[in-house]
Amino acid sequence: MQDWQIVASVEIRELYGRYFFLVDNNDAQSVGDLFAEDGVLISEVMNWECAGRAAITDYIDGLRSSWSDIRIHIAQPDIDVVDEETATSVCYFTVFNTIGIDHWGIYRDEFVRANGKWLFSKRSIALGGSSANSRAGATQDSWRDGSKR
Amino acid sequence: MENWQVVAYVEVSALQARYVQIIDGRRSAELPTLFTPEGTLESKITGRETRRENLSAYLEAVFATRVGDVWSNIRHFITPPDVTFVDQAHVSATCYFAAYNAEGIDHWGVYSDQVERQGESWLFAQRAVDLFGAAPGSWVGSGSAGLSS
Repeated sequence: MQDWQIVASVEIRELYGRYFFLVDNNDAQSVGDLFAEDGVLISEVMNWECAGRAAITDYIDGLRSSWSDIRIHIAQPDIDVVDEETATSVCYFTVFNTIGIDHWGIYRDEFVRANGKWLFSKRSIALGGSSANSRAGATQDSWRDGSKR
Repeated sequence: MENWQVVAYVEVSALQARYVQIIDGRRSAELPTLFTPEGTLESKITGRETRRENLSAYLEAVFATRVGDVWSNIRHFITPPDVTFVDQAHVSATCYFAAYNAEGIDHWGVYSDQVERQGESWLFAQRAVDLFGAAPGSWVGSGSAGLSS
């Protein structure tokens, strides 16, 4: 890897870390700021799609009433730095509630670098499975066939 | 990110990874080497706050509570951290952990770290271990992890 690719890889990992702590701490506005202005969020877990930073912020804010007390754990991401302004990544996640594992799946992400920062341009969340009484309820088709929405 | 932040992110991530390898590997003599001379470890799991000079004995006491085939080998999975850079010698970092015993998930929570650069090394000035949940009958969920006196 070249130096700029190493820097990009670290910056994207740092973006991942920031995203999950902001989501888990219900800071919707700051989560929205991690997306490009025209970013897209597609969640199979919640059967929802939204486009644009404002819509994503509203969506995250709306989760607060139903998604309290969860923590999202991710594995090491597989990051492909395409060029100095774009990158893609895939990583697994496990969502814990206070009594155990709630659900798990995979993030497929696209990034763009704008104003010196890496941002999510597209985030797709596919469900791999869920525990009994989980809050996640979407189909698991894309996990099985690896398709992208 | 500036170059020193990129390097700090990688080195702090490595410090967090080394910590779990030491505790999972029962290498109690090495644990103090990850802390500053004034460093402390505060655990909500055991209800103890331990200074650097007592860390090895503390860890041995923890190991003594992990009896039997199920609890003797616990493995901690950690997530990429969310790092806040204070200056070139001080950062705060947070990462989630999920601990598995031989039968499955045991307990899960968050590490909150104050990390200082001393010489060529990043070291824990303070590590706080907070519990988010534990499986019934597990090492933590059964109450076996709590150290008396």
